[in-house]
Amino acid sequence: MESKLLKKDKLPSFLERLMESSLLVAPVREDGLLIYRPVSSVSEIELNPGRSVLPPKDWFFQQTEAICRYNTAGGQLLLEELVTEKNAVLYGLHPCDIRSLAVLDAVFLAEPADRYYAARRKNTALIGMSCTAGRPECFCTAFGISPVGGEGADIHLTDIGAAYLVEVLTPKGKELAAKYQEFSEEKVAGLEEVKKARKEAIAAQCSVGVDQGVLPAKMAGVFDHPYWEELSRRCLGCGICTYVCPTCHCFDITDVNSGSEGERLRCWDSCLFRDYTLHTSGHNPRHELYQRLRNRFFHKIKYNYDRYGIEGCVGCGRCVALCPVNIDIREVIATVRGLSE
Amino acid sequence: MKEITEILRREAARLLKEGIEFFIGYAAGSIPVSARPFFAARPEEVDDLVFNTFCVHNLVKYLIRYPNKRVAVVVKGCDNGAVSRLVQERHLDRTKITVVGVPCGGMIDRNRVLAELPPAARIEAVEDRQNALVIRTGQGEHVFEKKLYVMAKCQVCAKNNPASVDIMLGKEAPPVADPERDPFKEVKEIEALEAAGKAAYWERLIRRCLRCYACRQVCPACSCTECSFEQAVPGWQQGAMWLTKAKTLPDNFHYHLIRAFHVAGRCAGCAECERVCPVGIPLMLLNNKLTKDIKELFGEAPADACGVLCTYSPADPDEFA
Repeated sequence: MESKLLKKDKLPSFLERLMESSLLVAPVREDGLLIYRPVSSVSEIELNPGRSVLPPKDWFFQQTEAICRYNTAGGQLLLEELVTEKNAVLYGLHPCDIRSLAVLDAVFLAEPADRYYAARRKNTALIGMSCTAGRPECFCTAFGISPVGGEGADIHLTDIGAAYLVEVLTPKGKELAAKYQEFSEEKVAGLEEVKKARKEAIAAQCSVGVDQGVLPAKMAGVFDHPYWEELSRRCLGCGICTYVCPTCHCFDITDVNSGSEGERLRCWDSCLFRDYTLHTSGHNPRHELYQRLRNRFFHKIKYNYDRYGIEGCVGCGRCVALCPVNIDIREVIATVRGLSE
Repeated sequence: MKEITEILRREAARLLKEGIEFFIGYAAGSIPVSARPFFAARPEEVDDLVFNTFCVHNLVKYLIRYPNKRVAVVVKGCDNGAVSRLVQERHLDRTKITVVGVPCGGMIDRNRVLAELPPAARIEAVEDRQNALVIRTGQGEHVFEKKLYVMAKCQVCAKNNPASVDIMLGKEAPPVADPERDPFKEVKEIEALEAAGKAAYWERLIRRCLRCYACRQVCPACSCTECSFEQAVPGWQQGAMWLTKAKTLPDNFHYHLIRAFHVAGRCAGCAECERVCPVGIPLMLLNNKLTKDIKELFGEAPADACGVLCTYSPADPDEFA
């Protein structure tokens, strides 16, 4: 791994340089809401972002994505697939969100790979950013994520005062770094210590242990426990937790038809919605809200781990922060541990 | 607040012993400056009940889930209107519900308080000192004068002591509303814009909607068993849906305008829709606009009818609709 330094006042010109050849997707504050979106100028960017309200997954797996266009005029079916080939750089991803892409990769890149996701993933370089503090809802360390770790990013930045420590982690990152000559190569002693201290300070604030490996088995034994019905009493059945989740990936396909032509759309779905997994017959295997809420936690804590060997939760805390009735996954994990099977 | 919590627990235990199914109230939240809805089902669970300045949720919506059960529910003044509306609309059987009123000194606007704490400040303690909320962080003590940090709905609230409840807890609370504040101030500001300005204002906000439907799910006036936007079952519409799940500006507008019109004349002003919105869409502006129009066009609704928009009079000079 290559390490360099980037003076803080040089960061905007670095990003500007990247914008010359790629679309830059970056954290932007709109009415106080931090979101990721393509920017046309560096001045729009929040350079030291906290946790965004919406996760960056929308760039790779869009809430609404036209995946193909069709036309049946003249009795012939014409299909045009819509795969994005744009080069992009996604700036300012925190470690939890970087890990979330590994979770999504396991789903979308397993053969047969999802072409739409794969194209965006392949054409997007990731610039990660270490956290400087934990928020009350953060618990990434429970999943073995380091709040200063860049694993999964192409380039990773860590704020060390007057400069960023720049870790160039992949060939793609090397290519990006080569475009910009103003990184300093000077060696600064003690950087590892700074990172380690930062990691420990934040980790001390994220106090939930998850015991992966034990918990999925434990979950299997409590599927029919009355706890889920009790928990669901206050659940509103809205889609907030799933839509702000960086790893939730359920979708629904809809055709929007107009005469003999139309588009096929892929749209986010939520297991909390009443029509989730509703069969054509009218039967729904998850008819009751408690079954749908239980599904969400089983998916996060058990199913994803069983299927892909990676936890479905990254401890970003967005669902904890935004649930209108304070359903807290950390508490669910702690409760499940204590339930008798 | 301690005192009211004690009375609350006592009453809840009594009602549960008398055989109600649930006592729906509040418990402490797991994140700072918060509370959560809480369903006590057994007398030994009442010790988790609290009432404080974070109990912002309107619990009345939950009653719709238990139409045939005997339940008790805690209501603040702003929540209370929803009970009578749902009873009038025959969603609820009033004889099965015990309405427990609490005097309310205003609910803290959590987001505004948190936004004013220094970035990355760790909250260590939160203390309610009658007129002030004191939050201690690693960086010192932060004092928030409650009057200035209550929710917008509280600043214009004229009913912070709920009327016609079955059990009223504690002493009457002094008024919370700021008499200087015009409840329709923000609505008038939008009304004053040119059409293009109004369109631009709403487009920017409505575009952002995630269609998570939290505003619908939390709203006690959204009382349909099946929302028109959820009808995906094959039927007379040939399986067509009013809305797809696509997040597009026209679909978002469609949803929000229909939502606002469906609650017109029925919105009790609890502002839960606006509170729960994860992307900060000021939904109360829409609701208040309709409330203002209704007031101006039809006057105040008779207090005991089911609202001005479902009042029928043979003397009405207009044709239907």
